[in-house]
Amino acid sequence: MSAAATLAQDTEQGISVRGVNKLYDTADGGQVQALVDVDLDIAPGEFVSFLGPSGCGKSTLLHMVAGLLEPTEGVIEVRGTPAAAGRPDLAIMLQSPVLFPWRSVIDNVMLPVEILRLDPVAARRRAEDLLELTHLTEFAKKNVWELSGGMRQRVSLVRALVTDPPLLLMDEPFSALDEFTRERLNVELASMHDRLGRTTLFVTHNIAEAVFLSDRIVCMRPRPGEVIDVIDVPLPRPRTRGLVGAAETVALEGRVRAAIAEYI
Amino acid sequence: MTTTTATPARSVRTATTKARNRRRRAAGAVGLPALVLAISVGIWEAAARGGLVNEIIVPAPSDVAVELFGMLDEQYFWDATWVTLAETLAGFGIGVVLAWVLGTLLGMFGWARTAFYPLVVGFQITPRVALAPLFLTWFGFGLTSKIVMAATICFFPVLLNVMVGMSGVDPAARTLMRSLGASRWEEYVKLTLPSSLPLIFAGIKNAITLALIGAIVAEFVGASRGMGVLIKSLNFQLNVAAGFAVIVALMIFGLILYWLVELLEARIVRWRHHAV
Repeated sequence: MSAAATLAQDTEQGISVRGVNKLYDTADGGQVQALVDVDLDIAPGEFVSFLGPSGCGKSTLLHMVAGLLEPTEGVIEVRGTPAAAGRPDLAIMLQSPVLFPWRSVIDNVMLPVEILRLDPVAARRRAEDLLELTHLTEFAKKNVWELSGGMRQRVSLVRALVTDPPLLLMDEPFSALDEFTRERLNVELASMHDRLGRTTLFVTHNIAEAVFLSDRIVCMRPRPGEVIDVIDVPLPRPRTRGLVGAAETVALEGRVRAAIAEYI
Repeated sequence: MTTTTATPARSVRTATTKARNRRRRAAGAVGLPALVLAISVGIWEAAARGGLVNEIIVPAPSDVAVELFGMLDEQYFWDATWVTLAETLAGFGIGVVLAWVLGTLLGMFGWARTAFYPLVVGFQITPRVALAPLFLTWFGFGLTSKIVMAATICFFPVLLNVMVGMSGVDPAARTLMRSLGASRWEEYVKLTLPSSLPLIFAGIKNAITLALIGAIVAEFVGASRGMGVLIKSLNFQLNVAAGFAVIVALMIFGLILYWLVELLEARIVRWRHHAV
């Protein structure tokens, strides 16, 4: 296979955002520009963070990729087809774990399998593997209110991964957790990404988190929401705990902070 | 988790202390109300026996108890009980089901809410007891008018709680369901319904007590059988102690019905005391 053919196939399997604008209607009858002219290509297996302060449109962009919002202008293609909700090859993980207390941990994990009507036997096996991977095996039959905040967010991650989606979208998934739990989950997430290599879009307002996890960081600014810079993160993989706070990591954090600072 | 396995001796001791504390709390939960009840009844008894109040108007608790135990052997008491319980339960069942269905429709469709909600509120503000004579005219002297009254009076709290429960669903959970491409029906069955169950049960618990009130009020207005009829006729005969006995029996039946609903709730809404 030629290099060109590989590349063509790659864009087809990734995500492309072309000329996307998003306008919101406000309560007083006006309109607010949430996103202006976003163009972006994300290759398969890439880990891309969207970084910026509140109101920069990073969550809006993620929700549009998930098919939960329509762009006002422009096109978003996911693996060669227009973005849409309800596709089994994409999963979104939200800021709150959104676990249903009337379901046990394992039944929460199986929810997407029921709704997307996937093979329950294979999914069940995958669910058990993922629970093992996230150290939750002994909690599978437990009620969700018996879990700590960090465990709940891990269950939420397992639920997102149970369909084995090639694309994973994460909307500030650990922002409600304390610093220590967040750091541990980030290390776990990095090691999972290194092992499974699925395309991941990660929305955050935490610079250190973005640097540690990503291959590329899309820096954004608010009012109007705009991409101001896309920064490559040349840190080696696998990403391990040792990289947190290492000199090269801190240097990169400084670069990212500088890039955003001049716009805010 | 790790500390309990590391020091089993201490964990055992903690467990026994915990059990003892739990027993102490349980004893307090039963003992304190029992004490208050005993003192209240004691004062009442003393007031009636000591001539502080006229025993014909306010009979002593011991007389009421004697009347009540006497009644338990009487066929007329059980006939009245079954009539009133049947009216209450039938009215409760009809009221809850109708309120649930209508509340779900109003909660699901904005246009239905706009169209019907003012009517429903107007109906709620009307004192339902005022409708009792009308129901008597429409549905007659028999059980039907009582069942309609019971259903009418317990309808609204369930309807309201069904609607509030539906509007209180976590928006993030709705986003999750939408991202999975769940249909409207799937979203209702797997999210909206279970998520609103705690509130629906609060409405149902309210409804069971109201249904009993509805049945008794309708019997007062016009009936030939039932506990309401029994209370009225005993009062006319100035047999106030027996009248009180029927009221105590009503209270006990009401408590049992309420307790049964609570039992059902505890089985279904296992997560009700846990915020997630």
